[in-house]
Amino acid sequence: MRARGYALGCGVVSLLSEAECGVTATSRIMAYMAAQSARQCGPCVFGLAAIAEATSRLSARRAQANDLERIERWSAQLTGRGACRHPDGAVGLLRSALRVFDQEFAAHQHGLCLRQQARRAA
Amino acid sequence: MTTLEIDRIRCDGHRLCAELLPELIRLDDWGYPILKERSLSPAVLMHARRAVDACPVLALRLKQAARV
Repeated sequence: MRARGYALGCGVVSLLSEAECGVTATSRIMAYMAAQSARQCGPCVFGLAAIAEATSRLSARRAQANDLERIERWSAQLTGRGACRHPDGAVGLLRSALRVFDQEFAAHQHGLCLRQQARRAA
Repeated sequence: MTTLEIDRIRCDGHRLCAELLPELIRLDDWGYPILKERSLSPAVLMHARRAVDACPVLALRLKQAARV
């Protein structure tokens, strides 16, 4: 499992409908994970909070100029650097979201939502 | 083999370790250490000991791997 980048842990399965935006769903999860920090180490306290804030801005289509670049950089920095594996779990989700919703994140960085455009076109 | 260990709970981001051991330690955006490498070559061992001694919260330590 480790060779494929998987780990054991608690999981939640959530279905996103066609109308839901992957960026918004991700930002809600990151906000939750940041709030669940035990607040015992710097990387988790500061790193997850910063990621939650940046993904929230991205979700609201009010991203700062380098928000997407920052969450990509921070997600690479947090793995293995917490006192426990909570930041690893959070960042694991984020990295998969950045991969699966790459186009949606890029659109949000530029103030657009592909989900919303699809809804309008329908 | 000697490795460098960081106690992430003790660490408060005082940054002395990165100052004294830039060969192995750089800082993240909030001043907390990122270990480039854990195993210590003989050349950096003296600097690593100095960094361990300098940490104000004793968050750094050297660990000697047991010989099997």
